[in-house]
Amino acid sequence: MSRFTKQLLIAAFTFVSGLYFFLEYLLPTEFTPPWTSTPIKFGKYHIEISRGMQVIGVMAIGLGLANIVRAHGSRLVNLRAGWINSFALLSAMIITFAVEVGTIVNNENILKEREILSVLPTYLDRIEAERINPPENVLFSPTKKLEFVADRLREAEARSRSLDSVLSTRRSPDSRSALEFAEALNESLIGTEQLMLRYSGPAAEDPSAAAEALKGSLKRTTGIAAELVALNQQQLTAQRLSHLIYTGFFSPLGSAMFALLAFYIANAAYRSFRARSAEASIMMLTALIVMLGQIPFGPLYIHESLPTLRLYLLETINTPAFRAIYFGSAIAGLAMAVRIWFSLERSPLSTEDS
Amino acid sequence: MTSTPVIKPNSKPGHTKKRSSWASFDAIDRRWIYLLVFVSLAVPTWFRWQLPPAQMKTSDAFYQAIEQLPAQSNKLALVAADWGPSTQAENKPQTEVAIEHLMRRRIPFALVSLIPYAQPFLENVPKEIAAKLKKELPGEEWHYGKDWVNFGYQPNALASIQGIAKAGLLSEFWKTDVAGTPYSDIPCLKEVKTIKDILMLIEITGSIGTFNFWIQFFRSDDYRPPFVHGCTSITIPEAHIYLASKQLVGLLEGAAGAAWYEKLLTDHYPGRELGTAIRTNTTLAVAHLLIILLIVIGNIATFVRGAST
Repeated sequence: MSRFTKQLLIAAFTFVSGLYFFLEYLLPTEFTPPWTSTPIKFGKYHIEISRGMQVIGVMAIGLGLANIVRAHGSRLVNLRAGWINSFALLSAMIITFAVEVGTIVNNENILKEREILSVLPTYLDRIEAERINPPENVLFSPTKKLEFVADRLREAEARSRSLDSVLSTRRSPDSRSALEFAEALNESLIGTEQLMLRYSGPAAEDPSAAAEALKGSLKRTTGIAAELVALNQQQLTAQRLSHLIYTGFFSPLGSAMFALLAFYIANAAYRSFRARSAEASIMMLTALIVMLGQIPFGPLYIHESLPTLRLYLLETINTPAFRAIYFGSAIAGLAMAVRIWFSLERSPLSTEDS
Repeated sequence: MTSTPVIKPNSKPGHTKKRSSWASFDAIDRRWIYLLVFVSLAVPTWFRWQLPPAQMKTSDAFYQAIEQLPAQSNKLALVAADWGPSTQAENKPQTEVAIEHLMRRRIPFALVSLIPYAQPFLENVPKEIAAKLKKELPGEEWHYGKDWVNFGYQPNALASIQGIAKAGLLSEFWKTDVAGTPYSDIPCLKEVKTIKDILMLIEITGSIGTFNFWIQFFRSDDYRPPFVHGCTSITIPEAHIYLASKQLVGLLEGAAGAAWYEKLLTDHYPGRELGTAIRTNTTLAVAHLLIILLIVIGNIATFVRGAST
């Protein structure tokens, strides 16, 4: 494919995509064009199209990852200056990636378990419907289906016992909640099993009433079991490592990076904030009033009307000025957006000659 | 051999030029400034100083907006906690006071965020507030699912906001909460079908971009919920534009706004345990005072140096 064809393709795709989002925003949610009586919903697939944009965005993240590995990997392999920093970056990236993949896999498994638990009461409705109107070809008998339900509940109970022992070994603060849940689950499970026997027994007096009672008990039991599944999720190794990486490294480092700004701003304010002209003096006086109006010392020790003066400066002086700046930058942004939409900006594929 | 002192023109004989003490302020090593900033932040934090905050009328408006929401209406508020660890110093106290007020008034709320790093805060902040309220009011309880629900991180900010606003049924957009519980199984969402069942949008963020998305796109053809906003101090001037045009009905201006809101809550609920907002505000105030002092000293030094030359 020639360079010109590639550029044309990119320009065409850009134009059509831009045209869709422009029309989606501009047109009413539903309208009837003059040539037909059928109303058109232009944004009918907007959510799906937007999700497609997310997929493209994810590919850009993948590209970024590839670039990081290439740039820092080559520095590490060739032991160029600063290779230790590249090693730190790549190892942190790989470890975090592995941990988060493990977290996602665990979350998917947990979701499946919770889904099975949440479906059990509805499954019971189906068993009862088949008891009333038995279908001709049935793969599993109602007894077998009830056994399936009982097996899922026994699995939940076994999980609660193992969770309780894990948490008490770790002396986790969650061990008390897990114990309470396990006891509640055990109690609810005994009741459910008794109702199950009553429902499925040969001498069941009123199977429909027994089915209703069993369904209520099953909902309670599966609700407690779902809570235990959620508690168990937090104790999985990948989840605990993810929590450690976030609360132990990422969160404090993020806060620290922002906190450094306080020191730089203090130094910069001291060195450069000088009243060298009338305008600079007015700006400094305004900044002092706004700062003193916002902190407790202003109204407490200087003058009680400082907060009111501050609000006046922000609402009456600052707002019109900021609006003007915003309008200007919005119009400039609009002009740039139109240029990008019509591919008037320099394309990444263009050369010096084109 | 004795050295002959250099006598410069227009200088008195026998005197060598000495640097003035004010001029030396201009050339002060930056590490002294860093040390002063560190001390000005560490001392109030260590000794837990608390000063009554300055009145913020925008926080009063935020408070009144939540006070006027109807309780027990089967609708809920939407709290968008679009902040992460970097701005938690200002945004976390704001989120805490807003959520506490909603919980005290028994107005259910849904938590979302357009920032992936907010996930742990979406889980922990309401739990901490619920535990604190339970300790203060022993007979009352707040439960997940009944009093609040967490929908977690919403990818692709623009599409998510438009999706929530335009969804024919919110249960089709938010099929489950963050833990995988189906929408229909969550008690506080039973009567919540569309954006018209959202009483209010409370958006707390440190960046102006996400806030603009909500302003522009969180509306349907015939409904726009009241919008209140919590911002960091750096974005206060920009947020005032929207307050003036009534697109916002209330604003929490940085840590000072959260501190005044906390005072309002304490005045209204006397047994309330104080949170971190007033302490954070006092610490920041001491640092602000230091910066004002440094600016004044710097200007005096420049003036004196200019006058002497």
